[in-house]
Amino acid sequence: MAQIGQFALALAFVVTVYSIAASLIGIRVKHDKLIASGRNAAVGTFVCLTTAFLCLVYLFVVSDFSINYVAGHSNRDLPLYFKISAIWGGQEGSLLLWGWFLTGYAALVMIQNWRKHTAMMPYVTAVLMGSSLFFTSMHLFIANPFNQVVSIAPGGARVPFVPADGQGLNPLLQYILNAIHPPVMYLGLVGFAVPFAFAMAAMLSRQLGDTWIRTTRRWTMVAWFFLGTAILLGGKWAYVELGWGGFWGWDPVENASLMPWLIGTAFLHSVMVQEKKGMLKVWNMVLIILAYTMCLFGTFLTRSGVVSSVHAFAQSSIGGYFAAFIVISLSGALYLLLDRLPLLKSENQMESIVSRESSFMFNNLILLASCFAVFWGVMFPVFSEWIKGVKITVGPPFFNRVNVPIAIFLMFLTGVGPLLAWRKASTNSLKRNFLWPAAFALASGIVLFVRGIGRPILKAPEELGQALFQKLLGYSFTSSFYALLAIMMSTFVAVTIVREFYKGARARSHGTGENFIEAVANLTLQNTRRYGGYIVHFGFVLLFIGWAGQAFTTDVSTEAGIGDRISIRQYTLRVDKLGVEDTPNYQSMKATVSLFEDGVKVATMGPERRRYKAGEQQTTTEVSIWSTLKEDVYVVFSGATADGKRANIQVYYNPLVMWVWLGGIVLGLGTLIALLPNKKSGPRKRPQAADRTEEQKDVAEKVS
Amino acid sequence: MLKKFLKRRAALLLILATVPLALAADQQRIKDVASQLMCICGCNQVLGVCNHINCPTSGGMMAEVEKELDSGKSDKAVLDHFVGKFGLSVLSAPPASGFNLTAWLMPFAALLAGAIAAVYFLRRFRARWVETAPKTVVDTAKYQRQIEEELQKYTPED
Amino acid sequence: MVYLFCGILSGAILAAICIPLFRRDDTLESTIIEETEWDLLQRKKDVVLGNIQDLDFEYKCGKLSEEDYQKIRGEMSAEAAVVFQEIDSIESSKDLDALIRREVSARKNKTKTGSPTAVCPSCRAQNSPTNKFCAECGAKLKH
Repeated sequence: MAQIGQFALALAFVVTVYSIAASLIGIRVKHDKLIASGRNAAVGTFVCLTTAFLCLVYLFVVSDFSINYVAGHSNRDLPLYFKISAIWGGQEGSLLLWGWFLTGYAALVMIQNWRKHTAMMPYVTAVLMGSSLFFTSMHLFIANPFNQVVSIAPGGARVPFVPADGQGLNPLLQYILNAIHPPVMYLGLVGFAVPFAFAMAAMLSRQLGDTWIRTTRRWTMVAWFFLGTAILLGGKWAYVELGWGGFWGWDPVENASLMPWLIGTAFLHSVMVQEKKGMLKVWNMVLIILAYTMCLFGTFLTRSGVVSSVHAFAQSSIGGYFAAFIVISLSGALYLLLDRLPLLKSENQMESIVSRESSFMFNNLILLASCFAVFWGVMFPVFSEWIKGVKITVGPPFFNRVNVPIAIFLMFLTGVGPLLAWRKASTNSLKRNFLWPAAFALASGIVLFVRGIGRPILKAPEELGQALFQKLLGYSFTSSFYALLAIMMSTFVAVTIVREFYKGARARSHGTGENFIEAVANLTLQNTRRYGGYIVHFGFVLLFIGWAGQAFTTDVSTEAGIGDRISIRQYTLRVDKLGVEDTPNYQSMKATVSLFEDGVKVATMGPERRRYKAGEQQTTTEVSIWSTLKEDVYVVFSGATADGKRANIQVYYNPLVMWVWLGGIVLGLGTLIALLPNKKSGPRKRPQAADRTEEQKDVAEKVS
Repeated sequence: MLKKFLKRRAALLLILATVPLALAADQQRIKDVASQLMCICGCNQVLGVCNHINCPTSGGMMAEVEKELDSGKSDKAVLDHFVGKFGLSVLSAPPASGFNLTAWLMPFAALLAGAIAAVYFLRRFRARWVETAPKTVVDTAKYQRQIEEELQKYTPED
Repeated sequence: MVYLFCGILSGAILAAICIPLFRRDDTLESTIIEETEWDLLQRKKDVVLGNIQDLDFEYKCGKLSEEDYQKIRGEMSAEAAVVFQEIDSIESSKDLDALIRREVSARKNKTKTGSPTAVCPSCRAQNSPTNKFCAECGAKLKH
C-alpha cells in the first residue's frame, strides 16, 4: 500500500507540472486542445492525491507500523475513529490533507466553471496547480508520509524495522471535536486559494468585469464558512479539553486562523460595494491577496516555531519553505496588481458620507485594523527580539485591551450599516430608523447598570486618591464596563435585525397577500444573501453576548475529601466518590460530584484525570460541564492528594458560555442560507398582481 | 426570558457584593496580579489560568504572588519583583513604556492612519460625484417606461 | 498487484490527459470567449435595475423618507436611462444579428491566429476557413 501511495504522490507531482505547462503554453499559442488537456490533468492530480490519501487511511486502519508516520502518531489500542483522525495528527498527514483538499477544490472549480468563464479558466488552472505544485513537492521531497521506519545497523546500513507498537496519538487530540477541527480548518484555509486563483486569473486574462467577482464571492463565502466553523470548533475544543475554563486564549495559532477570517469578512462586505457601485476594485483585489497570504502565513506560524504556542506539537522545520512560498505568491500577486492597475479604474464616486457604501468602508477599516492589531501582537515579540534583543511576551491582556474596543465599535457599525440607505441617508430617514434600536439599546444599558453591571469597581485602595479624570479613565477600561457596552451594542444590532425582517415581511405581505410567516420565509429565500447575512449578524449578536459574559467568570479551587462541599454563587458541589477506571487506551481517576443549585440537586458530574498508556504516558484532564443558558459550571479534577483520599478540584462559574455556541450555530446556518441560490419569484395571485401594477403606476407617476 | 435571567443575575451580583469584603478583595488581587504574569514552565499560558497537570512552576509562582502581596507590596511592586527575577517576558503583556509602547500604540496608529485614508478617499469619491453629476444629460423620460417595464420582469440572479 | 494498480492509475490519467489532444473535430468546448462591451452593458443593466428594485423595497419597508426616495430614485432612473441609451445606440447603429455574427467569427479567428481566413468574393467579409458559405452574405466560398 505504501508503494502505491508513494507512486501516486510521484505521479501527482508529474501531472501537476504537466498541467501548469499545458495551461500556460495552451494560452500562449491559443491551443484549445492543450488547454483542455491541462484541465484534465488538474482533475488527474486530484485522483492521484485521493489515491495517496486512501493509502494512508488504509495504513492507519491496519496499523502498519513499518511506516514512520503511522508509528509516530498511532497505536494499536486507539479506537478506529481516532486511528483515522490520527492521519492529521502530525505534519506529513496534515500537509497531505491540505494538498488533497486543494486539488479537490481545483477539480470542483474546473467542473463547475469550465463552460462559464472560458477565457479565465486556463489561468485559474495554472494558478491553482501552481499552489498545488508547492504542496505535492512538499509531500514528495520534504514531508513524505510514506517513509519507512529504519534503524541504523552496526555497519551504518539503514535497515527497515517494524516497531511493536506505535507511539500513540497526542491525547489532547483524542477528542471528537478535535478529530474534525483540523480538516474543517484546512478546508477553510485552502478554500481561500480559489478566490485568489480567480482574482489572479481575472487580472492575467484582463477579464475584469464582474464575472470573476460573482464566482469569487461565492467561493469566499464557502472558505469563510469553514474557517469560522473551524475557529469555533477549536474554541469548543479548548474549552472542554484544555481545562482552563475559557474558549479563546489569543494563542498565536488561534490568531493565525482569525486573521484570514477577519480579512475574508472585510472582503465579503466590500465586494457588495463593487457589485452595486463599481467601486473599490483595487481594494477588493488587495483583500483577496491578503486573505490568501494570511492563510499561508497562519500555516507558517503554526509550523515554523517562530512564535511559541500551545500548539507546540505542530512545530517543525518546514517553516522556511512556507516563508519562501509566501514571498513568491505575495510578490507575484502584487506585481500583477500594479501592472493591471489601469484596468481596474472604477466609477469611484460617492454621493454622501452618510451612506451604506461609506459604512462598508468603515467596516473594512475596522476589520483590517483589528486584523493588524492581532498581527502586530503576534509578531511583536519577534520584532522586540530582533531590534532590542529583549524577550517579551504579548499575551491575552494585550489582545483583549486592544481588540475589545475595536470589536465593540465593529458591533456598532453592524447595527448602523443596514439602517443607512445606499447613496445617501438624510437626517429624516436616519431619525426614523435609529429611534427604536437606539432606545432599546439605551434601555437595556440603563437596566443593566441599575442592576449593577458595569459599575465602577475600585480595585486597590490607592485608587481612591486618584484624580477624577484618572478614575473615569480607569473605570472605562474595566471589563465590566466593556461588557455593559457590548450588551448594549448587541441589543442595538438585534433590534435592527428584527426590524429589518419585520418590515420586509410586512411590506411583502402587503404586495403578495401572504401571511407573515410565509412572507418571512419567502423574503429570505428570494434574497438569500441579504437575509442570510442578517442571520449571520444575529449569530454574532449571540456570540457577542456570550463573550461579554466572560467579564463575570469566577472560580474556586480547593482540596476536598469525600462529603466535602464547595460553593460558588448559587451552586454547591459535593464530592461523593473518588474512583479508578481502566481502559486499553488510558487509565483514569474519576471524581463523582453532585451539583446542587440553591439546595436542589441538578446533576451528577464526573470530572476525570487520564493517563494515556501509549508513548510518553501523557496525562490529561477531562472536565465536566453543567451547561445552562445562564451559565456553565465547569469542574476540573486536577488529581488526588498523595494518600488518595482528597481531590484537588477547581470549579469555574462561566456565565453565558452557551450563547457562544448557539451564536456559532446561528452563524453557520445564516452562511448556508446566504449560499443558497435565490428562489425565483413565482407567479403571483391575480388580484394582488393587479394591486402591484397599480402601485407601480403610482410610483411611476410620482417619479415623473 | 432574557430579562428574567438578567434580573436573577443582577440579584446574584448584589448578594455577592455583601460577601465578606476583605477576603474577596485579596483573592481578587491575587487573581489580578496572576493574570498579568505568565507561567514560566513553557506552557505559554497566563499564570492565572495555567493548570496543566504536574506544572512544575505555577504552584510555586502563585504562592510567591500571595506571599509578596501579604508582605504589603503594591501590585506594581510585586510585578517588578517578578520581572527582576525572570526577565521582562514574565509579564503577560509588555509594559507601556519605552520601546514597548509601540506595541500598544501601533494598532491605534494604524487605525488612525486608516481612518484618515478612508476619509480622504471618501472625499475624493464625493468630489467626483459632484463633478460628474451634471454631465449625465440623458432623456430620462424617454426611457422611464422601459425602465419600469424591465423592473417588473426583473428578478435578481443571486 | 501493486504494479497492476499503479499501471491502471497512470494509464487512466494518461488517457484523461491525451483524449482532448487527439479529439478530431474541434468542439467549441474550450473556445476562449471574452467579455465584450455588450456583455458588460447587459450586466450593468442588471445591476442598475437591481439597485432600483432594492430602493423600491426599502422605501416600501419605510426605511427611507419620501423626499430621499424621490431624489434617489430619480438619480437611479437617470443612471438606468444612460445604460439603456448605450444599449440602444449599439443596437441601432449596427444590425444586431450582424454584430453577433461578426463577434463570433472574430472570436473564432482569435483562437486560431495564423490559420488562413477565407475572404468572401462578393462582400469581402472574413470567414472561418472551414466555412463553405459566407457567414455575412451567404455567397459560396472558394477554397
